[in-house]
Amino acid sequence: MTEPNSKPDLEDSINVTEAHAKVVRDAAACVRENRIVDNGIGPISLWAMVACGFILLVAGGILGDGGSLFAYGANFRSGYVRTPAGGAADSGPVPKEALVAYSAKGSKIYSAKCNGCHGSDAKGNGSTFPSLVGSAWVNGDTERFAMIILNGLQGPVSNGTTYGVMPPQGIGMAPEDLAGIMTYVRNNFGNTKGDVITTDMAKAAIEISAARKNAGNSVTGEELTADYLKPLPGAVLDPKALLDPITLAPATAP
Amino acid sequence: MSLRTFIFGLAASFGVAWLFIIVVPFIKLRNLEPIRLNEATDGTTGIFYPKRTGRITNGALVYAENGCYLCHSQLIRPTYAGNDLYRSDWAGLKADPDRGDTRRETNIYDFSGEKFAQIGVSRMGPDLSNVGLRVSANYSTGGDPAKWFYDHLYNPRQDPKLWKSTCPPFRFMFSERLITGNPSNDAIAIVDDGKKEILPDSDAQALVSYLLSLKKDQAVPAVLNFAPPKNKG
Repeated sequence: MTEPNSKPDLEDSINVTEAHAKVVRDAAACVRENRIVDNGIGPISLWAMVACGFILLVAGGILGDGGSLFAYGANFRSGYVRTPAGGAADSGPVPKEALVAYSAKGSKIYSAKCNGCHGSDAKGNGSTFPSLVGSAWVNGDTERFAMIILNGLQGPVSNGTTYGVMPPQGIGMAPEDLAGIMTYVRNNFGNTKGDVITTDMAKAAIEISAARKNAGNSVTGEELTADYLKPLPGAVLDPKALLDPITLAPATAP
Repeated sequence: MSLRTFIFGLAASFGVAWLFIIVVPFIKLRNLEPIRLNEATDGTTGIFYPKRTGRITNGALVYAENGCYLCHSQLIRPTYAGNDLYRSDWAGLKADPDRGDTRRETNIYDFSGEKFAQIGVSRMGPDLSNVGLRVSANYSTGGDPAKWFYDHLYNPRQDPKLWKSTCPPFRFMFSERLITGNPSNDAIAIVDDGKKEILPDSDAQALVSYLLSLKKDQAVPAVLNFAPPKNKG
């Protein structure tokens, strides 16, 4: 045998028909093999694409509805408000009578701000701290009482005695705090005024106090008598009206 | 593709997901800034940061060790994600004598300071978010809720209301002791014709302290209060 290429074409040893038949056979085999699809490299059929697309569409809708991705600070859906329970089962905090609700707030402020000087029984100590029990200024006109709490007091008090200087308590005091403390003191420790100082009245008192002529100094008896001898403006609230004990907003009986 | 590229690509594709889904939330939830409560909107002052100390913390570990989380969840979902909130006293008491409806969703602060946030794996048993509250109000009426829990751990089907309970008994947390003199005040049962008493071990005491502490009825700050406007409070 010599090298195939060294032989000239169409030699006797080459059967052209046979060689042709072999080429045709191989080509046919190639065509057949092309139809065989190997696992994993075949094209994805259209129905699988459509099915996956549908799943992605649904999943995307659910994810998108759940809020933005990677919003780590948000633990609840924004604007979420609880769906109320069916029927009348879902009740808020038990409504309380206005006097009770305001006094409950006031008692907390009293123990924080007033207790230290006036004492837990509000009787003071007789020498530096006056008693609040039966005091004409506590039980009298509400605007005068509010001015004393907000600005403090110097000089003689309602019974003529001069006690120590009372520091102002109004700094950072919210209207509901002032309303609570006034209602509490006027209806406890033996004081029985029976009226409620509302948040609106307290708001007005804070405004009046801010507009004082000599703001920053404690009020004196003369100033109180001259300027503040009147009840606080604002609608009077029935002490028996039912309120939400936290927000002090009107509530209805459950 | 070289092995180097392959390993780099593998690390990047899993690492980025791990970073954003595990690491960042972990760091963020680990150091929660407490929320300050204020009198006007929340009805109380202080900070919203439920804290657990002492035996309650030990009890949380006993809870974890014994796999309570496999059957019991501690997660009340918001109403858009489920109906847990209105299932019988799961989320709080429907009619608390003082505070009215105390039911609320679980928020992340409920787990602050805990080693594990026991949100649970399945709900073979009831949710335990408020089990301390619920047992005092509904099961151990008039009695000592701790005693009820000891009885329940010793024999979960002892209370006739729970005859269908599938909870396994935890008798290994109790020991029998010969009575010498007077029986112990802590004894949950006297057996053997009054000769022996059954006493809770320290694990049982810790676990019961923990279960009694599961009460989510404190005031929540306004930002976490999702009550409908008419019941806001």
